[in-house]
Amino acid sequence: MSTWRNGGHLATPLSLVAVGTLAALRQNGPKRTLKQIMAMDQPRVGKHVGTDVNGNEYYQNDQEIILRNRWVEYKAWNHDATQVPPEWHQWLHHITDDVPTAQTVPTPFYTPKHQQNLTGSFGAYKPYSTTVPKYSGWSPAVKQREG
Amino acid sequence: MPATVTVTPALRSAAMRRLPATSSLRLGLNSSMAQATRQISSTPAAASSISQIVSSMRAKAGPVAFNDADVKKSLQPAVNPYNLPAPASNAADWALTTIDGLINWTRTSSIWPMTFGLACCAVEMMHMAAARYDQDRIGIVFRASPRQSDVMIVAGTLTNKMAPALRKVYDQMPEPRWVISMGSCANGGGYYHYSYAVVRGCDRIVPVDVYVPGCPPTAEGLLYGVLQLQKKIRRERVTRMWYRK
Repeated sequence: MSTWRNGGHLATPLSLVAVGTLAALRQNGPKRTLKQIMAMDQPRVGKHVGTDVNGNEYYQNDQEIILRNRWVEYKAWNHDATQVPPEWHQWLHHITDDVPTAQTVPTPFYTPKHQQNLTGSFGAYKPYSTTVPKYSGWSPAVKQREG
Repeated sequence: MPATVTVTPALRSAAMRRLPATSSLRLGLNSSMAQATRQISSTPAAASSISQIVSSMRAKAGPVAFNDADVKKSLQPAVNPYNLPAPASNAADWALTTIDGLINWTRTSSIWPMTFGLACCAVEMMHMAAARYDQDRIGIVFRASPRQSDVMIVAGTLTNKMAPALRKVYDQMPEPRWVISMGSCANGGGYYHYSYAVVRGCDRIVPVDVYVPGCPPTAEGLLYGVLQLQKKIRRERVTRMWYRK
């Protein structure tokens, strides 16, 4: 696995730890570089492609290896992968090359609003059954010995 | 007002409709009574009926001290099942919140799972450890011994024959310990739900923290489940609960 630590197989000088970090420091500033290292173990330099409704920013750098050339920098400190809306998800995962706009991703009026995963909050989904259970649980009971 | 009032079902349903949906589930009995009393002030039309209910509840429950301090205390959620952030009320609480953050940080950043690979889910669990998803970068190291692990990943069909072993391994793990149930079979029996040889969900044997759906879940899905568990650990109130005791 090529990371910024071991250099790897990239021909560009960005693959070198020092060069890559210095480039990130110069372009992104120390605060964002530190945030990048905390969030994705790697300071990264790239072209800002767009920003979604949640304020997450999307970047691209095709000098990185394939499937690592697009990334998201979350706005929230407690970020979660489900904060990425579906139209940006498909761009991020190379389902499409189109940057989502009103033209490339039409949203009909019945499109529901994207919501992040609410597990662990009061908004969490609670399933319940309205059918009769098909089997009953066993409640162990000891019968009194007779005589 | 008489001490006891017969509560008709119509009256009760009218009162329940005015109560917020949260009161019956998440607050204790006392607090739901307090909710009822709080509702009185906001809905004067229903005041008489709700106060009748409250007085009848008091009569049923025996003498209850109902001073202002008790009402105020019972308005606080009695339980906080999700450990959601609550405002620190005093200096000790504030300091302990910081210590809790430190403890939770150490716990989240070194999750050592006990691998309980039972079926094909275990292969996806191995993928999580392999180079692409690389669990080591978030501090996860598979630990083959229950004595040194703190998370158990139940990956696969739990059969009746395996269930005692699973429980034994769980009991050998030191506190604090968490369980991730991975895949349909571990979640609720899955494909083998109606088999006579399969436990219908590993939560019948051990308490489960995170259920990862799928048959089998992708390594990505399992990793997301681990991140959800990290979030859960991060919310824990270790020293705050100790202090409250």
